Amino acid sequence: MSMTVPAKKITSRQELAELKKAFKGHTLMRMVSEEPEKRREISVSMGTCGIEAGARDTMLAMLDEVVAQELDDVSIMAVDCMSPADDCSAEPIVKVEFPGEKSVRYKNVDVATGIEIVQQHLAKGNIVERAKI
Amino acid sequence: MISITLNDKPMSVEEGITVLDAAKQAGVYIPTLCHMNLHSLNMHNNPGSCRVCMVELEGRRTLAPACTTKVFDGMKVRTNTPKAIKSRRTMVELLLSNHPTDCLICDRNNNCELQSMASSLGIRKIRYSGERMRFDSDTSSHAMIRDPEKCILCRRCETVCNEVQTVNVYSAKGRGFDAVLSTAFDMPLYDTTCTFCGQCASVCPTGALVQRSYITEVWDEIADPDKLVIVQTAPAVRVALGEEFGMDYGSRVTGKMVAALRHIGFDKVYDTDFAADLTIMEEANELIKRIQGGGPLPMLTSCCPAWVRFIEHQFPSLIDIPSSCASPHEMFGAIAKTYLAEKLGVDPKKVVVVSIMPCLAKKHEANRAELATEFPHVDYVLTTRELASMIREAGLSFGELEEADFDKVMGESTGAGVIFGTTGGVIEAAVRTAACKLEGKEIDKIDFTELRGMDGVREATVHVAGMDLRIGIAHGLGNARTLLQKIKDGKADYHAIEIMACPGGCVGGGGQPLLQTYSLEGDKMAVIEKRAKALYAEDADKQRRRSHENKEIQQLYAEFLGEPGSHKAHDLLHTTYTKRGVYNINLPSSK
Amino acid sequence: MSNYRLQILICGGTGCVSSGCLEVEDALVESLRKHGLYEETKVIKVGCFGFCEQGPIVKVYPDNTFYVRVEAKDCEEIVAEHLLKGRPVKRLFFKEPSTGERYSHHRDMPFYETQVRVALKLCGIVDPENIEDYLAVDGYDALAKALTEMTQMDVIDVIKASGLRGRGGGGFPTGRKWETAYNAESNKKYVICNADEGDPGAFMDRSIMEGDPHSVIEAMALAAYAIGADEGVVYIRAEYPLAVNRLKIAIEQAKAYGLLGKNILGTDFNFDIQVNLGAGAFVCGEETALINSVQGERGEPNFKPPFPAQVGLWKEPTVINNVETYVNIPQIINNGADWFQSLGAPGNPGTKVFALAGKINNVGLVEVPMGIKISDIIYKIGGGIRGGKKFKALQTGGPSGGCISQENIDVEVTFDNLEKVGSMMGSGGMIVMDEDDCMVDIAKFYLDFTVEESCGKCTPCRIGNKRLYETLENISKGKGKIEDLEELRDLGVIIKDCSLCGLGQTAPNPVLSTLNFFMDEYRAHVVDKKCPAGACKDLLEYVVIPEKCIACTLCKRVCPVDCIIGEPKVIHVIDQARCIKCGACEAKCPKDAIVKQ
Repeated sequence: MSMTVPAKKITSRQELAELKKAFKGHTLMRMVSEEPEKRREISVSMGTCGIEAGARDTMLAMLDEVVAQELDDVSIMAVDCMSPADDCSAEPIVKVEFPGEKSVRYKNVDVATGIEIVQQHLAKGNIVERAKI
Repeated sequence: MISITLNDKPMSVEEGITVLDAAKQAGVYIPTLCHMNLHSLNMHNNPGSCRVCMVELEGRRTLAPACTTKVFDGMKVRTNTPKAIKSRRTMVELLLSNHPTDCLICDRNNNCELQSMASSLGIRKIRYSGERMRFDSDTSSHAMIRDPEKCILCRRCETVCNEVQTVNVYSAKGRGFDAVLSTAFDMPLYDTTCTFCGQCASVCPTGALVQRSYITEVWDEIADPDKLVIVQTAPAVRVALGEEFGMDYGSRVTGKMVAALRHIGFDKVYDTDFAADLTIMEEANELIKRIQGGGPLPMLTSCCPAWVRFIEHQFPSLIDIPSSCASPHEMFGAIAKTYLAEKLGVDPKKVVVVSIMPCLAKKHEANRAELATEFPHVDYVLTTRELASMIREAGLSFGELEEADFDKVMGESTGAGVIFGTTGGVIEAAVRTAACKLEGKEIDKIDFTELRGMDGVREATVHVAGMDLRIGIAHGLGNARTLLQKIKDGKADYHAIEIMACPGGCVGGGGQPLLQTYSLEGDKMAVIEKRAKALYAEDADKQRRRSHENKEIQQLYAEFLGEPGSHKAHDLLHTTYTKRGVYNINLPSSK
Repeated sequence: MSNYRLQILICGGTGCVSSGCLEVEDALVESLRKHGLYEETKVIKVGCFGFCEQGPIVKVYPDNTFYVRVEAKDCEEIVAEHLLKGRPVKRLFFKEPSTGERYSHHRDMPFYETQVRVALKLCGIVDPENIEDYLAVDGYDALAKALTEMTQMDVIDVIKASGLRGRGGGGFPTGRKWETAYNAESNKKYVICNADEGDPGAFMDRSIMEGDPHSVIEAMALAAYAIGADEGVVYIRAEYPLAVNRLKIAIEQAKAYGLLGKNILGTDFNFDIQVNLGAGAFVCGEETALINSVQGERGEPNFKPPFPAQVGLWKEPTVINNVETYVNIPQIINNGADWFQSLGAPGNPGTKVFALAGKINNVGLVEVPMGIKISDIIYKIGGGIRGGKKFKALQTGGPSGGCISQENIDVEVTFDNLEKVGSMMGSGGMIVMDEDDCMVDIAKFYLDFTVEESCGKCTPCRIGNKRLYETLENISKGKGKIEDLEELRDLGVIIKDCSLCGLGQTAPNPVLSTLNFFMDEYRAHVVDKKCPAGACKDLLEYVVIPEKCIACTLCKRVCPVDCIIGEPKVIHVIDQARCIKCGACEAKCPKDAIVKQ
């Protein structure tokens, strides 16, 4: 049982609401994924070359930033290699896709760029032009 | 009051009653098999399980059982529609398809509710056939035979045993087609806490629970020229036997009964009432000693063998308080095989003692090892019903027999001995004698009416010799339990207590004629009371009404026993009890 | 690392446990550790996804990938390829048998497409052993709302307005039941959850308790608040150890959080739940028998009225609802009566969970809106009859139900419609039969169950059903007479009319409904002494077609009772008197020269 033992019993509806908010992250990913047409997606190219180029670090850093920014409708996914044939120089490649909109691809996304993409593109809607393919 | 329509007739009935009750009020007969409410005994058996009493209710798709369906305002009931009758017949046919077909040789032949039902429904063919449930019959006890194959799951035995008698021997076990009423762990009845009171057998609608009969053995003994077969009759038998021959409840047939026994061929016909007087001599003596000698008190009467078994199993810690007196018919047997045999010049080995009792537990009691010398005090116990059967067998017209008297030597009895057969009677008989002994003189008061009545638990204080004698009385083992629990908890301070296992005492015993329960709904006690009244009437008619006034008893002490409580009396007339407890078996230990 | 990148749900229902999900979990964790992904992945065992035939099922978030029939040896590939490199393992996607198409997302699969999940909403989504998951969704919102905003009657009014009817089989309006208990005057009242799911093949209640126990607890608390009870009992079969365990964990957690116990959410409402294990008697699903059992008495029904809502547990007013009924309740309180009414059919709002089984392609637990056509369940969700055989009947309502034939296949599923066509809703078993099923045999099968499970209290059920069964047995052995058919109907109707409880009142249904719709089959058994479906062994004959027989003696050698006469080059003959109809010869014959007829 992974449940944490509560410090004290809930004694009001208000306390219940606060607690529920604290636990929201538990199921957020599942609830968002159940309606994929509504979520915003970050796809990280995770071929062998991508991993070699640091894609996993980028992905995990972006994940933490998404959580930090409380972006409840964003999913981060590892996907198959997105590099054009025989050209791995653009890795790590990251694709950002909003529902009903054209996707944006970024190249050579290191940890810092990844965080910037979350902060700018996802949080504020500003495309990070310098890394855009 | 609410309005209903029963078979197209409007009627006004009390709210909360059942359709069956309403039908009875309207004089409409609805047959039932399982249902049995004996309000005066506090027995309410309403499982709604036989489904024979089905009736049609307007607006209801399925049929409704009359016994458990409560009336409601505007209810329209039809009890005798073709659909209801067809269903009823089907239920009975189904029961018959799972029932042995040995009716002709069943103990309950001609006195079986299932048989009567089949007859009144005109069943001539059983449309269903198939597997029949198979069980061995339980012949472990000397008192009763349990034949589960004849069980129709009416649950009456369970109700009377659990709720009225609180002995809890029976419950349903198994499921579906294998369901049957049984004992715990299917133990033989002999090994259970059964007291053999026989109340279950007296409510059983079929032959699933019957008395164990010794008629054949008794006929054989009578036929044996070498044997002196003597018979004794318990007080309650004479006020119920007539019912078997169409007489009114409470008819006194003492003389005809004696005549019938002679006709049957018993060599001597004696009276257990004589032994009841003897019991009082011993018991009153014991009571006085215990009052004067510091206990143990209260003293419990010990005439009822079912009650004795009850205390042995259920209250072993109280085993020291019953009187050590054996029951009257056992005292009779002990005296018959010593004093009487000597007087008649017969070898005691050749004396056969047969007791006619209103009781099944006496059959068990007769086999207790404590109640024997080199041979048992009593050889056979027959019930009132068995005696009636022998009378029929002998072809006697009971009603036309000329009245006869008991034989001498052990045939005389006082009114005190007579009232032994009803609740309150034993203790009243004891008080009649004890009062005189305590006062040191014959007193005027004979009728201690404060001890009479039919309430389940009664108490009274009798003033004698400057002291208050506190008396408790209970009949029915459920009531006995209440009283005993009070004693166990130290909440009672009686001097003497009388307990009888059967409702109403021996007059309501398990060996008495079976009552047609449908017509008696709720009023079985009224019949029992009529029998009891007949005993009190017989008592009132007696010239001598205190045990110690019995001339034959006086002669017995003078010639044989010496004093009450003498060494010889103790050897022959007193007994011991065993702490038995509840289910003394090795159950799997629970962890 | 504090945030999970992946959540992997493994079905931990009883079905998937027996098909090996625990080994899958172990293998998955091992591979995750090996590839360094363990820290960023949360593995959760959840409740049933419903598609039990395809278990063990593994679902990967956020990709929403639905893997079926996963074995421990597949886990390394899932981790190395999919989780690490983003290449889903396509061979583990579900393949639709009729089209051969593979699906990565469950929502696109025909099995799930038509389903509407209310009762099963959180099954396969939340971790049933962690109250925090339940709190993270709508958990205990309805209770909080009721306790702080609604009077007892408000709650009852919403339930009444929702039109919710008991999902245990009877279809009695839940709100009315609650109202009766509310109006019953007493200082002490009880609520009971009937989790004694006993229909053969039905497992919706078990799945709900295994997958979403807190919804049950919350709903019971709502019922308790509404009627004024302070004690609850869950009566659950001891044969459901996983459900029992999860329920107990959930109750402990709810107590730890103060959602059960004294002064819940600071109000003066007190409520506690105890779990009572049943020994697995079918009749204990009947509410009065259940109450007797809880009280330690023999599990057999009492007559009604009085109904439990008036005189129930320990003779106090008691609301009894079944598991599926309860789990609808928090959602009705949260979303309103109108929302519930908008689902389903008029007079039959909401959804119903069915356990779909038998000769059908997609076996499992399905939740559909009331009013869906039977044909949609069979062909759209169920994927049609297995092996391309012909549909013969749909059995619903468990052993108390009946068989629905081809002529009624477009009936819309509601409580009333199913009764109209001679069956019933029951607790939701749906067993599909094809041309190889003999309806006499089917009726016999169900009756065998009820005969076995009858408590034996009343005459018609104890003896009547036994006689029905024996008659069917005779018919299936070729010993039936034409009069037997009328006798069956006659006795069946009387048993229905006269039995004490619902078990007996419905037990003849399988016989009566098959008599109604498949009379020809019965007649074939008693008149021609033939079983058209070839299921009743005693009515079969294996015969050699002389024209096809090549006299090879293969059949003769395989026959276990040595009843085939023949030698090389002499056409074989089967001695019918000695044949035990095992079918070994038919299977062995290389030329299909042996047929059963």
